[in-house]
Amino acid sequence: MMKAFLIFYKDLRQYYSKAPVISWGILFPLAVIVLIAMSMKVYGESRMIPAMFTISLLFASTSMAQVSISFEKMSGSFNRLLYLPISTGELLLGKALGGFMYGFIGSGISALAIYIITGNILVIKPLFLLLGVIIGSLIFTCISIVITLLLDPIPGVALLNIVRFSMMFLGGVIFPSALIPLPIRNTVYIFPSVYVNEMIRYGLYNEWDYVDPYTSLVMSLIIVITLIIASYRLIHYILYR
Amino acid sequence: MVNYSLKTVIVDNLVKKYGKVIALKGISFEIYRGEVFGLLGPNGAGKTTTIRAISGALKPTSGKIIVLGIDVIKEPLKVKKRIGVVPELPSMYPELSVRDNLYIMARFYDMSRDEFHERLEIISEQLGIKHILGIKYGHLSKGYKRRVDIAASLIHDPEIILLDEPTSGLDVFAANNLRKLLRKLVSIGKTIVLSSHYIDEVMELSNRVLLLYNGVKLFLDKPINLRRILKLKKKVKLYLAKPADRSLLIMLEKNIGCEDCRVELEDERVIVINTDKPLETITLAKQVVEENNNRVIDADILPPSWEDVFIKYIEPLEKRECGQCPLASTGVCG
Repeated sequence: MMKAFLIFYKDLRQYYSKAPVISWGILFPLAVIVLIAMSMKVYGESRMIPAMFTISLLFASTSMAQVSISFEKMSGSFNRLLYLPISTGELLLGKALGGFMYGFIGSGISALAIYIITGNILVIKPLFLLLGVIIGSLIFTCISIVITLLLDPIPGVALLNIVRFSMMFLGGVIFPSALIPLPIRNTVYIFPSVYVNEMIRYGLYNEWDYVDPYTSLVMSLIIVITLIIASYRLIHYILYR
Repeated sequence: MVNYSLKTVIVDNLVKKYGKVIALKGISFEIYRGEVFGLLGPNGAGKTTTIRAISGALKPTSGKIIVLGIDVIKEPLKVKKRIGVVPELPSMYPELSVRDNLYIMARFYDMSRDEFHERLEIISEQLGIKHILGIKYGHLSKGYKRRVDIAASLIHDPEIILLDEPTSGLDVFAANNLRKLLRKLVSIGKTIVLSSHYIDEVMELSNRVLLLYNGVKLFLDKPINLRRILKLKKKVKLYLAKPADRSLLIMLEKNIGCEDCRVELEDERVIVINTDKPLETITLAKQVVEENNNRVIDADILPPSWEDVFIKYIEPLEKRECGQCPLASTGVCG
């Protein structure tokens, strides 16, 4: 566990101020928040504020893991970790902690922006909000880890952006189900963002749209466990193949 | 001093396959305490794969590796704690200072802050990096980066140090300093595994050399024996007063009186002759040169370079001329 924190600490010091982390992890979600705030009257506050949370979480979590792994793959320092007495689990945890913490920071910034825009933050079910933020952050971090490990840095960033924007626009975050045509509406369920967003929405406003919050929680847990196992196996395969 | 009764590394029938590519085809060897063990071979020979396998950073397809009495395949973490690896490329964290980089490495080896400071004092002195401890790794020159990479691999005082192409990309002075450092490490009883394609460097530093080609062991012995086995000729260099022409080379080949002597033009005024009898060759060559209206202003006798040794081994294999390779029987050609 201590070694996982060491990787996390080193990643924070090394990468937290890198341009891609700041631009994708903080500036872009902030810009989206401003846009959403401007269009809040169209879709309603109870849809847009959870969307702000989910989008911040999505971009902040995916940025940190993507940048730290890509930079290390390019510089060769990721391979150096191979020679150190660190287990695959410690390495995964270390890498995931950075994305997870950044996700938390991202959602904190969202909360602040929401407070500035609306003048208050209503939290009806804090446990669901917290679960949504924690599990969502883990899911998005693991997605980013898997993509960044599988692909070279440039195609990795391209694919990650496709995944991020698909989740943002097609993954049940911004548009209500009534507005989405039926064939596309069914594809919403393949995106983890829909389950995360529903939990956050339920936590904040006691509302949900596509999936009920308890099913969302179960689905999120299944997804996060699957992704953790996939990331673990992938790291193990890449490191020791 | 090499202790030939203490084996620190035992590699037995090591095979590594990457899909259809076989990187190592069943190599076996042993490394002794206090030894500098050289790994030589062209690109793709299997040097880095061997280093990664010994260090527990990859899982072999088959075979056995014992390091310091521990089975690397079964307990890689235990082995990693007791060895240090210097990878081929600079691999520390550029935004962190040298001290912070080394501290993080020390913590990975479970060292306390006090232990780290004690060890840092010794290592920074040995490696001459005391004055750069506060500088960001990313701001250092290649030579200093390499020193810091080495410091990172030594921070936990390992018993075995594995270096993959340690002087690659360094200038002459930095490479020379690094060689001095390696000698110093040997003098304090460390076992060193050195992989490089700089032949002279490996031959000069190593007690024994393993020559790999295409994942196969070609040769394992003391460097001097490799030269002896191949019976390579010495080189005579003739420096001429005027540029030489093609007819002079033909005349030299005909008249210097030794069989299989190769005459080559290194420069327009420098002729190189491979010969068994250098003094006789110089005397005869002088006469031939003068008959050709030219003059020898100086002459050198040089031993065969390690590059010649390497070429003698590897070139026939590269050209698939197995019959001419001293170790064609190993089957590497097929």
